[in-house]
Order: sequence, then C-alpha cells, then structure tokens
Amino acid sequence: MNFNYFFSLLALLFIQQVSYAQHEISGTVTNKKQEPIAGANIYLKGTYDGAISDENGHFNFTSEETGMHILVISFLSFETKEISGEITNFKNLQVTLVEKFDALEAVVINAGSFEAGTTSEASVLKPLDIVTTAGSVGNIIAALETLPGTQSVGEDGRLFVRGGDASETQTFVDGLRVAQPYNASVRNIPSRGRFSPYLFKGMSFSTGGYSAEYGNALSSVLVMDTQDEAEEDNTELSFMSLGLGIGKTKNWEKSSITLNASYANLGPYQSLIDQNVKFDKPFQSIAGEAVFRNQFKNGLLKVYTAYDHSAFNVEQPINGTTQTVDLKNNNFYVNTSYQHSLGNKWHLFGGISYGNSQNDININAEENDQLVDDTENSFHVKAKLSKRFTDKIKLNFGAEYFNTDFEQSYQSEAGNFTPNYTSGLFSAFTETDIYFTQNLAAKVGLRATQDALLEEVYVNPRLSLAYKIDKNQQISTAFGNFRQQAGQDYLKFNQDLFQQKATHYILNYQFSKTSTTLRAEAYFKEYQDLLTYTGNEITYNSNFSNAGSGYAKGIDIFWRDGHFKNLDYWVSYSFIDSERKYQNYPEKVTPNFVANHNLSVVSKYWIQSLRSQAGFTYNFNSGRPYNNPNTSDFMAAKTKSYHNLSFNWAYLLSKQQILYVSVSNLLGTKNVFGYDYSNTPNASGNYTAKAIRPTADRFFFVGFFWTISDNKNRNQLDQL
Amino acid sequence: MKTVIILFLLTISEALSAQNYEEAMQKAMQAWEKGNVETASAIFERVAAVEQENWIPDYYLGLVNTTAAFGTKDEKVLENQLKKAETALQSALLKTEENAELLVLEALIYTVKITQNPMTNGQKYMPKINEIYAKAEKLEPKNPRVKFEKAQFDLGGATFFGKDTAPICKEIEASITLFDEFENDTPFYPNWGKEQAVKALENCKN
Repeated sequence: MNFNYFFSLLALLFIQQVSYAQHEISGTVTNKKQEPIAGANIYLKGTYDGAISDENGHFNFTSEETGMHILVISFLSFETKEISGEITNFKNLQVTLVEKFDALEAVVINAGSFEAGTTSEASVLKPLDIVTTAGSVGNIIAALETLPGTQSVGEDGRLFVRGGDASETQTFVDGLRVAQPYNASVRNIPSRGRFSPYLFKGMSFSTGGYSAEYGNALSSVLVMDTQDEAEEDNTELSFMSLGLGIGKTKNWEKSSITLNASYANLGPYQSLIDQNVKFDKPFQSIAGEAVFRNQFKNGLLKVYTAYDHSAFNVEQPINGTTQTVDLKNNNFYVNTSYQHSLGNKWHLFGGISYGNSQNDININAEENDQLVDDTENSFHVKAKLSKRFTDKIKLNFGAEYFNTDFEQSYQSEAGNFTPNYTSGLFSAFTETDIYFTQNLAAKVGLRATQDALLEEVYVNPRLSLAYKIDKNQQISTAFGNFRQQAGQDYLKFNQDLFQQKATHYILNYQFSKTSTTLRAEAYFKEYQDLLTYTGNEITYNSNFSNAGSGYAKGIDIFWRDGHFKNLDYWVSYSFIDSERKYQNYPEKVTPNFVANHNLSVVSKYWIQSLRSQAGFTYNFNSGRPYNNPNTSDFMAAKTKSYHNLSFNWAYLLSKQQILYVSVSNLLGTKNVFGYDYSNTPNASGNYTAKAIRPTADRFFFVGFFWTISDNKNRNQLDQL
Repeated sequence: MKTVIILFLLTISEALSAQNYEEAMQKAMQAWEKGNVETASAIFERVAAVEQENWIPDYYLGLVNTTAAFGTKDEKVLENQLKKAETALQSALLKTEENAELLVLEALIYTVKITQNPMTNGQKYMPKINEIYAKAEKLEPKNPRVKFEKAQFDLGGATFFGKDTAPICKEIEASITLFDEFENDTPFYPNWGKEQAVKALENCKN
C-alpha cells in the first residue's frame, strides 16, 4: 500500500463527483383524482437533497448523488411513497399519493351513542359542558338530559331513555358496573348522580344499539372513564349555598391521586325558598371520592373509590293521606382496573368492582308503620383482550361476572319479612370492528349470558354499519338484542322470572363540520317479556310473570353550532311514541314517564369584558300521562306541558377563583309531574287528587370555587 | 497502514456529511428567516429523517410549525401545522431524553391550541402548561427560554385578569440575564428568545 493508491482513490472519488454532478430530479405529485398536491416533501433518502412541490404539484431539484437511490415523497395524511431506481431516471415522474387510513378521519360507528370529552368528531359534549350547563348544577345526569333520546322526569331525577324506565340504563366507570349510580331517594324526591364531573375525562352515552361489551341493560349504557393523569398539584375549595367541598391533587413520578370530600345540607336553602314538600329533616350528605393512578412501563392501574352517607326526613302525600319517610343511606363503591399492552398490538384489560349500599328507611303512616332495612352487595369482575390485526381489523373479546346479593328486613303490622336473593350473571362477549375502506365500517358482536338463577343461556347478537358519504356526512345503522335481569323489587320475591328483552333498530345520519354537528336518528325498539305483577303494588303475595310487552319509536335530533363568536349552543328535540304493558298495567298504554315531545336548548355566552360565562337552558316537554281513577280509561289523562328556563353565571375573579350563580325555573312556571290519588273515594264518590310537583318551584345556587396551586414558584396569594 | 487510511477516509466522509448537515440546517434557517415556513419545514424534515440520533432538526421542525401556527387563520392549515409539530416532538423524544427545550416546545403547542380556541381549550390546557413549565424549571433552572416563555404565559393570564404584572416583568428581566449567560456548544442548539424578551420587557415598562 502506498500513497499513490490512496491519492488515486481520492481522485477517483473526486472525479466521480465532478463528472456526475448535478442530476436533475423532477416530477409532479397528485392525489388519486389527479389533483395536484402542493407542499409535499420530496427527497433522496439518506441525503439532504430535496424540494417541496409547488401549487401545481411540480417539484424540481438537483443532486450530486449518483447511482441507485430511493426517492421519498411524503405528505401529511397521505401514505409516504418510496421509489427506488437509478438517479438519472428520476425525471418527469408522475407520483400519485394515496390517502392514509386515518382513524380520526375514518367513518365512525356511532348509531345510538354520544361521545363526550373524547377528541373524535363524534364528541358532542365536553366534560366542562356538564359543569357549565345552566340547570345542571354539576349533576352529570341533568346535563345528559339535554341530549335527545332522554326524557326528563323531574320527580325521579334518573335517566329515562327512549321509552325505557330508569332501571333500563346501566352505568359503568372505567368499564366496570356501578350498581348504585344515584343518590338514594324516596318516591317523588328526585335523586342526583353520585359522580363529580371533574374526575372524568370523557363519557360515552348510548341511547341504543351499544357494543356487546356491555350488557344487562335494556335501553342504554353510560360509560365514564376517569382521567388517566392528574392535573398539576393543587387544592380546591368550594363554598356553596348547599355546603362545602375540598379537593386535593398530588402527583408523584409515576403515580397521582385526586381526592375530594363534600358536605351538603339543604336546610338553609329550604328555609329560604318556599318548598312544595315538607322536610322535617333537610337532606344532608357527606361524600368523598378518590382516584389513584399508577403508570407502569406498559400498563396503567386505576383505582376509583367513593363513599357517601345521606339522610333526610320528608312528609309526603300518598294515596290520599300523608306519611313521613325517614331515610338513611350508606353507599360505598370501589373499582380497580388495569390496562396492559402485551406487545404485538395485543391489549389486556382487567378489573373488579364492589358496591355496598345500605338503606335504613322508617315510614310512619296513619295506617301502617313500616321499618325497612336493606343491604345490597354487588360485584363485577371483567377481563378483556383486544388485538388490532391491521389498521382495519380490530378484535375485542372477554368475559365478565356480575354478582348481586340483596337482603331486606321488612317490619310492619302486616308481619315481618326478610326477602332476599343472590344472583349471578356470567357473560362472554366478542366483537370485531372491520373497516372495509376508510368510508365503510362494520362492528359485529355477540354476547352470551348465563343466568345462574334460571340456569338459562341467552345469546344476543349486535351489529352496526357505518358509511361515510363525504367529508362531512355519514349514515350508520345498528341492530341488537338486549337482555336484562329482573329488578330488585321483583327478584326479592320471585327468582324464577325470565330476563326481559329489547330489540333495537337504529338509523342515524350525521353531518359534522368543524364546529357544527347535526345528528338525526330514527329508531324502533321492541320490548318482550317485560315484568308484570298483580295488586296495587309489589308485595310478597303478588303474582309475577313475564307477560308484558311494549314498543318505542321516534326521532331524535341534535344540533350544535359554534359559528358565532363567544356563543355556543345546542338544541335537542325528540319525538317519541311508546306504549307498554308492564307492572300492574291492565292494558298497553303510554307509561307516565313518556312525553311525546321533548325539547332542550342550551346556550353559553362568553363575555370577555366581564370575564364571565352566562348561560341559559330551556327545557320543554309536552304533557305526560297519568291515571285518573275517576275515569274508566287507564292512564288516559295528561298533565299540562312542562317548561323550565334556567340561568347561570360564572364569573372568573382570577385564574383560580370562580364565582358561580345559578337559578332554575326563572319564569316560576308551576310545573306538575302527575297526580297522586286517594285509595278510596270520598263521600261524593270521587277519588281526590294531589298534584306531584317539584320539591320547590325554583332552585337557587351560589358557589365560590377556589383552586390553590401547589406550585411554589408561583404564589397566587401574592397576585390576589 | 490500511487501517490508517480507512480511518482517514472515514473521517473525510464524516466531515463531508457534517458539512452537509450544517449546510442543510443553514439553508433551512435562512428560509425560515425569509418567512418561507413551508420550505424551512420541509428541509428540517429531510434533515431529521437522516439524523437518526440528533433531536435538533426535529426540534426546529416542531418550532417552525408551532410559531407559524400562532398566526394561522385557515383551520385546515392550522391542523396540519399542529400535527407536524406534534409528530416532530414525538420523534425528537425518541432520540433523546426529555429536556427543557422540548418541554418549552410542548408548552408552546398547547399555547397555540388555547389561543386558537380559548373557550374550549383554555381550561383544558392551562393546568397542563403550568405543569410543563414547572417540570422544565426543575430540569434546567437556568434555561432562559423556560423562564421567558413561562413569564410570557403568566403575563397573558395576568393581563386578562387585570392583575399586577410587575412581578412577571421582573421574571422577564431575569430571563435576559440568563440569555446572556446561556452557553451550549452543540451546533444549532436552541438559542432564540433574547430579542423577544427585550421587546417584552420594553412593553412591560410602557
């Protein structure tokens, strides 16, 4: 080896560079429709030589490279293309780019369901909307009642969906069942959702046709997910006309905890505002929630737990007389879930939930004093595996077990009873999402449930299809069979009742464009094997059967628009026609919780100069049926229509302090939900009626919310 | 002898490529200076594709798109710029540990989202941004961009709520000192912000 060799090598290198310098690379980039793509990045792989395409899709650059090369053409949202070849051949190329399969842009299977808080376009409500919707006062359920498909049943407070009663909705937190999602209450006193909206990152509310993953619900599922990560460390204080609250968030390296505790007392409010119902002891509750999260290398552990104790004593009219009801409730709920990425696009989910609810109810009536104590223990265990085979095929399958143990002690002059039951539901489910193209997708699912009380297996198919017409429009359909076991009131006396059945048919059209969403959904729902009983109310000696049936059909329309600066509003309208024969109905009629027309208008206006958000919510529903025993027709009378205009005002005192005022029923409409009739006719042969009205015509709420950041570097107190 | 030559050759090729990297980065910077965002973005993207272990081109790819996004009105363009910035940030984080410069970039991306849609994104991302700056400060307490951008962000909040801005202006002033002290020998290491800080301080005094 000598230097000559070395120099000749260098020279060779040099000569090569010189002699082959400046190759021109040029061409045109278009999409499938031959439309030019501007701004595509074209370059020789492994080099810095490249250019971007102009408005006509043309590109042109020179390179000193030689030999075989790979030319890369990349543009956002399109599949990157690589062409390999001799550099001299990269001239006047015609490059066609194919659009990438993008889950966010693809058709969404959404017949029946409303997403809230997710980033997808299907999201119609954000978590914050729940807090800032006038009339909701932080109650998740009240905010959901501004969505179409729901019935607002003022004397009950729970979710009623598409002709189904409140028991037909099942609630899940992080995929696991919540057996008691509402505060305990007694008849005609509305209950509230137990959850604080701040702890949840998103929710999916389905009014029908939902996934095979969810079962034991005839009408609807509400799926809420707690936040995966906490916000910055802080302390939150709330001072409300109804009580006090404190919250705390703490982060560590891999884990975080969010806690909140609250005390509520309706006493001061009830003494200020005229009440339609007499409370001997005002509603009081003490409640706490905690979410703990721990991030592992490939997994996430979440623990959510909630406890509340509530009590009140109320005088209420019943069957023409008055009784006092004293209620104490203890409720505990804990749920632990774990998600793990197994690699190779396999994903594992496992979780367990436990709920314990205890009621202590004393009823003092003229005729019959009753002492009712009951305890419900409910378990849910679930495991799920999912695998994404390609971008276009996803498989989900799993198994779960629901266990409910109920025990009651009932003492009255009629005797002492201890009705109880233990039920077990074992289910397996499988579901496949298939994207035939970016514009056409199907979800095919099957759910099988074995009911331990009946030793029977129910198999329920679910099917959804969605087709994207163009960038902004899509249609989807859903079909499914849904089963639900008999409720507590029935099972405690009779454990041989079949599961009730509903079949859903849904057709959905959605138009969405940046800030505008229009959804129109038509549905038909058929009920079979509904539960019936004989007598005035459910007792141990009623005759029970699955002889009931019914239907619901209607149209739900949702419109949300954000075109106006600082104004956000949505309108929901539902038309429903529903009849059913169930409970002790002598014939098939429209049940008392169904109003044919429901309308909600929610508006929020941001006033920059006042740093305030003002909002109005208007709810309307047409009259609801009630039974007037003075006529021979069952459930043939109708109440007058319901109106409620609510207002709220949130004023940002500083970044950390919010003053919030809310008033419901501004116009003071005297709403009537129905009538309670005496059991026996009076001297003139008439049954006397007492109107069932809201506990108060107006509801006032004033709150001051203060977030104190624990970030020591910024002292908020100095800035006040 | 053979090894010496091979080593020598290797050094030459290394030098050639380094020169190329510098040239390409230089070209991108010039395009950016001229306001040619698309070209600058495309060059940074090309360089980032070659530099498998260097996060700096990704950082600039993110920065060029983020700063452009602040002024973008067209929703489609905005969406693309944010997507590019976010992808670049992710790509950078694959090449290096989390550092203050990348955290500032992340905070800026969220800030764009807030400015573009304060009503829905304000409450959502504000705590997130505070958290990111706190993390960055912990990581590199002497980084001038962290101090300055954090102060800028707080300034926006304080002005909005009509609070006293004097303590924040002091922070900006402190950031200028940090800018003067800041040193890093890595070529093209982020070194922007002093001009903006000086301007911000002037505005403070008016």
